[in-house]
Amino acid sequence: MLRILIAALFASHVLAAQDHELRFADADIHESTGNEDQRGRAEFLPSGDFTASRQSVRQLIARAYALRESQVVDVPDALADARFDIYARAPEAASAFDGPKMLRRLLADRFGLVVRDEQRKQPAYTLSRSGRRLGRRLHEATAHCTPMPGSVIDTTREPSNDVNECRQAFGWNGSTIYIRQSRIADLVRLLELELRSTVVDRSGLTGKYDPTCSPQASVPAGRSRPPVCWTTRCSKRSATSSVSS
Amino acid sequence: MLDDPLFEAIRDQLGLELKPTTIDLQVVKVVALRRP
Repeated sequence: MLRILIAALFASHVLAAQDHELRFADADIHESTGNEDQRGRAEFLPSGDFTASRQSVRQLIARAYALRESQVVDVPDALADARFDIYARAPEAASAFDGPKMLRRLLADRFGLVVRDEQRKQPAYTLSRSGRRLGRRLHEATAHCTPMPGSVIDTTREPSNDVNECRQAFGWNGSTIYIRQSRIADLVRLLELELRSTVVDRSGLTGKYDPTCSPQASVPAGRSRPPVCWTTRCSKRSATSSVSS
Repeated sequence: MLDDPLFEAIRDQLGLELKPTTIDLQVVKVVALRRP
């Protein structure tokens, strides 16, 4: 009898806790239309609001549970390719910190999502150094920069040459990898997006890296800033010409 | 796959190497899901 009483008390406590969990005040969810090649994006705003465009269910679940996409398995085929646009408004008491938990609740309420934690053997890649020397496009960053809040990461195109050299950027344009003020962990994120697989960093490289350009050697006299350069051509050009090109 | 342009760029431009492997990974298995 005592056990039943304790179980009942525990169950009511759990239900009460769930009722007091923060949840989005309202959410507009609809299936994406338009250009299928267009990249999606999703973010939690400082208010806790959640905005997403062209996100797959796998991407939404990964964001809600702070996982990589490759860690979300067994998404039903019928929904695997579907993309969704979402705008979910958070309650006043919420902040971006509460976002993932509220998104988990939203997915459960609106998508009927039920998940289970498992351990699985998964194909992946290791990233390691191929030799003692770094490649020609990987140099330790020389600019002394204060990290900029909300650094822009655009993996779809190369940035213009006149942007601040302290802004973080990295990307892959189909033939060239560029890295600026970025860590190997950022490169790993890029590779995971491109390969749709987990990448384990075994490079042992720390610090920040910039594109090549033999930094100090090509800085014109009287100029203290290291060059900003983006193409493979820049290693043969002066800093001035690479910036103005 | 290993002669893919990305793998070549990683090797030739960065001096790094991507190798396939298998790892034990904590995953989230989707048990139930429906269209909203």
